Amino acid sequence: MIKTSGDTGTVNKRGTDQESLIGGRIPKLDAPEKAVGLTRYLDDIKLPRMLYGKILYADRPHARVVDIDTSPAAAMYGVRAVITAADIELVRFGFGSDNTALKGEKVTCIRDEIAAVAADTPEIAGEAVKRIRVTYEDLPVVATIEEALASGAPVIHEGAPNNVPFRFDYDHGDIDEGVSQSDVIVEDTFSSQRVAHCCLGTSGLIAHFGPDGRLTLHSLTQVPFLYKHDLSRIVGVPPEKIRVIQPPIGGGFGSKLDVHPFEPICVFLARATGRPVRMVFTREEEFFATPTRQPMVIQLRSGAKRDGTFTFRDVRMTLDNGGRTSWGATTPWISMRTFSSLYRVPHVRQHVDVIYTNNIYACAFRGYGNPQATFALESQIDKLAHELGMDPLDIRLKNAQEPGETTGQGMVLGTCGLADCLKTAAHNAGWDVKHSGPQKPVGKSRRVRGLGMASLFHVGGGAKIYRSDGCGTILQIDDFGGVTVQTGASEIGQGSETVIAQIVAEELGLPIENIRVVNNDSDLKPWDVGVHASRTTFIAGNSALRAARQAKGKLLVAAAEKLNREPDELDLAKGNVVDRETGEPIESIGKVLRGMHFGRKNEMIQATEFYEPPSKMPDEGHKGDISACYAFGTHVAEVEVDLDTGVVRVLGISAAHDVGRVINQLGIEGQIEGGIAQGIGYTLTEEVKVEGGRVVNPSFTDYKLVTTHEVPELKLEFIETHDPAGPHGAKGVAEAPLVPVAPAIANAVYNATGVRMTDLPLTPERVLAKLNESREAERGATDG
Amino acid sequence: MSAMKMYQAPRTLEEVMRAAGETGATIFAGGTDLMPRWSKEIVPRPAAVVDIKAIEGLSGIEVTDGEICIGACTLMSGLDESAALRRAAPILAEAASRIACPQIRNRATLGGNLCNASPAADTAVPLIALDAVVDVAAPGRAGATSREVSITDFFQGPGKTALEPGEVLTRVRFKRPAAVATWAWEKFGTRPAMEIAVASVGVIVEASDGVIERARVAYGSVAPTPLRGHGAEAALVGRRLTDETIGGCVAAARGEISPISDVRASAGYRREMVGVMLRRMLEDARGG
Ligand SMILES: Cc1cc2nc3c(=O)[nH]c(=O)nc-3n(C[C@H](O)[C@H](O)[C@H](O)COP(=O)(O)OP(=O)(O)OC[C@H]3O[C@@H](n4cnc5c(N)ncnc54)[C@H](O)[C@@H]3O)c2cc1C
Repeated sequence: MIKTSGDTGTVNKRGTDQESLIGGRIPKLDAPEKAVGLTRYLDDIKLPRMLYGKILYADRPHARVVDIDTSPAAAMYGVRAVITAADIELVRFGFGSDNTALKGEKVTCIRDEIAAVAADTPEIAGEAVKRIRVTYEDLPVVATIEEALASGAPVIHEGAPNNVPFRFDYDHGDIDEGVSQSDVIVEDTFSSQRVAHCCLGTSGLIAHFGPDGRLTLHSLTQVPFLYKHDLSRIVGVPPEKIRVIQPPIGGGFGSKLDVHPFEPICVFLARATGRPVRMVFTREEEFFATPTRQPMVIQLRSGAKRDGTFTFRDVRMTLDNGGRTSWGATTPWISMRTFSSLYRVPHVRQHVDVIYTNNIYACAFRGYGNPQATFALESQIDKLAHELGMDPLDIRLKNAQEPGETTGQGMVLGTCGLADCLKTAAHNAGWDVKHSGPQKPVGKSRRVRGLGMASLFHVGGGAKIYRSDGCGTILQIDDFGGVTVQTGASEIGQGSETVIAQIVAEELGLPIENIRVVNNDSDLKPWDVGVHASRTTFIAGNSALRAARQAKGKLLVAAAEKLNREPDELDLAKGNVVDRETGEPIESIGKVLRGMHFGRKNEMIQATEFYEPPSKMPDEGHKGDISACYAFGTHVAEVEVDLDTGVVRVLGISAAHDVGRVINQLGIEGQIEGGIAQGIGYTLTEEVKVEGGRVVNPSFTDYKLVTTHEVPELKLEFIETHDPAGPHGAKGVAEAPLVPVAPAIANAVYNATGVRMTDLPLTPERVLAKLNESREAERGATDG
Repeated sequence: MSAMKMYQAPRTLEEVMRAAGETGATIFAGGTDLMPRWSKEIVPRPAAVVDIKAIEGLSGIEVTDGEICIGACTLMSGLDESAALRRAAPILAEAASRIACPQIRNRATLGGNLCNASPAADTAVPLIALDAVVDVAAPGRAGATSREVSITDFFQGPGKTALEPGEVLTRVRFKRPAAVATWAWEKFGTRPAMEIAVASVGVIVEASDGVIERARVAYGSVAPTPLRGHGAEAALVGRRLTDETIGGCVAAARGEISPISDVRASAGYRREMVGVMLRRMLEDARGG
């Protein structure tokens, strides 16, 4: 097992192949352009005759639309089109087929889109939507899950008369048997909040029809090919006539996996005006009119034997789905995998109810249901350890899987570094010395410290939820050793462009500067399912690697012919064809290429690859080997809790991740650090607050992201398990670092104070209330 | 549509007062309160603004033996970085240094912070503890006149001050605190930076032989205006800082504030935090 440490600055620590790019600290290829401000984002793109679009939202949670009068808007100078549901064909879309681009009869949440305007300037468009007069007939508002399930509750969508559009069930083993095997059983209810993705770049689109009827979209989508297909149906343009260009995307985190209503709206405006239309959200719109992370209530009961062996988990999950359904409703599919397969557990049952309310709705967000599940599960594992008088590290090690095991849900863990992650993260955090609690305040201070740990399980080799989880690559080499790689993968700031260039450069023995990655135009790039499920390095990396290997093979054959050698005697390094044995350069790659092109045969090197991972779609019971490999990790958090104010400060996080193999040390550190920062916000401060269906904090003033002050020293360590399926052994890592942050912190709060926090976020007010409760209880106990 | 019809940046106070008084132009200093409110449409964009930053003599810090005098357009970063102010009235420099972030502190002015009259204005609390007065220039028939308003009279309600239309706050003045005075200022929020106070407290006490002779207590974000703590002060003066005194002072403080519940915190929690901050400050002041 090789570990590489995150906080050393050395290039490539592996020693064996010093010149390899794999594992190096490679700055992102697009970094210089971004650093000097030359990157042209969506907001910077201006097409000739372009108009500006703006949407009118319902701004009421539940109502019937009686009348819409657009004439005052249409009469304004500079307004080119005003559209409502009456002007378009209403095609249902979204995971629950309960959404349309514009709503004509009924609104079910405040962000429901009622009308839209295209105008000469954003200001005119903004003023025009305000002049549209809508008459509503308000309906009773269903603001909570309880209200939705009460008898006689108002029906939000006719298709779901009980307000429960979806139920999901999973099980393996036999819960009753698990219960009877248990020496200790614990039960809790955990809840988690809505949080926003807070991408630096807000949502937006430019839509534009050519004279030939082709539709071109400058779109921020994470899934260009699925998007083309979905949008095609909604706007009535065949997919083959749609071109998706992705300008540099200012963050995704899952927010751009759905087709959102504003996108067809923008297309309809472009069609109505015959001109390009750009729509870019304000930050306030971004907060209330884009979906959030799925809030969940999780009732969890689990057991263990006296020696710590886990026996069963029984899960009931309730989701506040909001007024419409996006992919957020399917996040339980991923939470299932954590309940079934994070540590060994023979008996698991999970039941999920998805409930309509008149709140805003949720979509995919980094971790996809896993952070919520892991918060519940890892908090309860801590509790089991406590009940059994075991060290929380030991109980986890006792149940950690070994490589080669198959989990109850049918996932085959070819490689598995979980035990190593646990030991490494604990060691680096000083677990043996610091973990003992509850603790006394130091000196006169009213602050106590504690340590907590949590692990994670996630897909690491894609996730086959569509019939194809593949990615294509087209690779061409010019006459001088310049390489153009057209990849299906999308870049959303995660650094995939750099990783793909690294992998290709490594294979072809060329400097990374020679590699150009084309990844943002659906007319040029081959198919890819999209950037989600932590899959790009693994899937697109494998695809690029295979294409590069083909190209290398052709090059070596040509070189061998020219040099009168055998191809397997040769290799490529530093821009040259070299002797495989001695590394001695023989001929420059450029010369070989020109010889091929302009010599007798007139050949050039082009290679194509479509890589499909060896994973399977889950069966009807949600079982199956959904990913080509799986990622593991452990975080240990150290916190300080102020007993008078309830403020929780994170003093440090030690993280160890099984990443298969580090491809780009700089990139992977960025992913882990960013994930942890996002995780700290999720745990302590972030919440989109909704009252009576309305978002009450739609700005960064009161939506509290963490700042650099709150991100403590991070100790990162990478456990390299060299997965045989991965490119150079790598697994996916993108979502993983956010997942275990909340339970690690909550467990540390328990270690420090003896108080267990079950509701996210751990705001000072909430922590203080729990502290006071436990002090009251203690006082009661001593008094009585 | 949203374009400003008129922007002026005159060089004299008279021109400002004329613009603000006669044409109703909005006085504009750093714009850090005004501009977010315009773009969020909390208030409509005014037809005209009059920028006061070009007026000579409106910014700078003057520290003499007896008095400290600060121009209205002095930046928060200027207060934070002034060694003289750090020596003479560190409580104000400290509060200024905790506002927002460096970018905002390089634009935000002291006068703007006060004239905006937010109950959470971070410089108001130390200025109340310092018994500050503000100088207000008013348009008069024979040129500008100036009047003095005590800082506590200046704040009249959320967003409301003692300024009449056309009047300009020009300076803030206060007596240099005694060298023996101990001070403390703290704001409570969920993050250490970029945080509007959930509650804040400032304290200045002067003691002789362990007996408190003079005390000033002030609170932010717990009443419609930044508030002076007369009750808490009375609970301190003439007493030693015993546990009993501290307990009495905290009880008085909790009684004289009137916090509300909002998106940032509940009223009960705000009250609790004022108590915790005040107790800790007094325990620190006692030392040992
Ligand atoms: C991101 C952000 C974070 C912030 N954080 C904090 C914080 O932590 N603590 C805090 O207290 N504040 C904070 N603020 C609020 C603001 O920055 C301060 O109140 C600042 O001091 C205002 O000064 P200004 O010069 O920008 O005022 P402006 O916006 O220019 O003016 C504010 C008001 O005062 C009037 N005005 C200004 N100067 C005068 C004058 N001399 N005479 C008469 N009227 C005048 C204006 O007409 C206007 O009504 C924050 C603001 C932002 C945008």
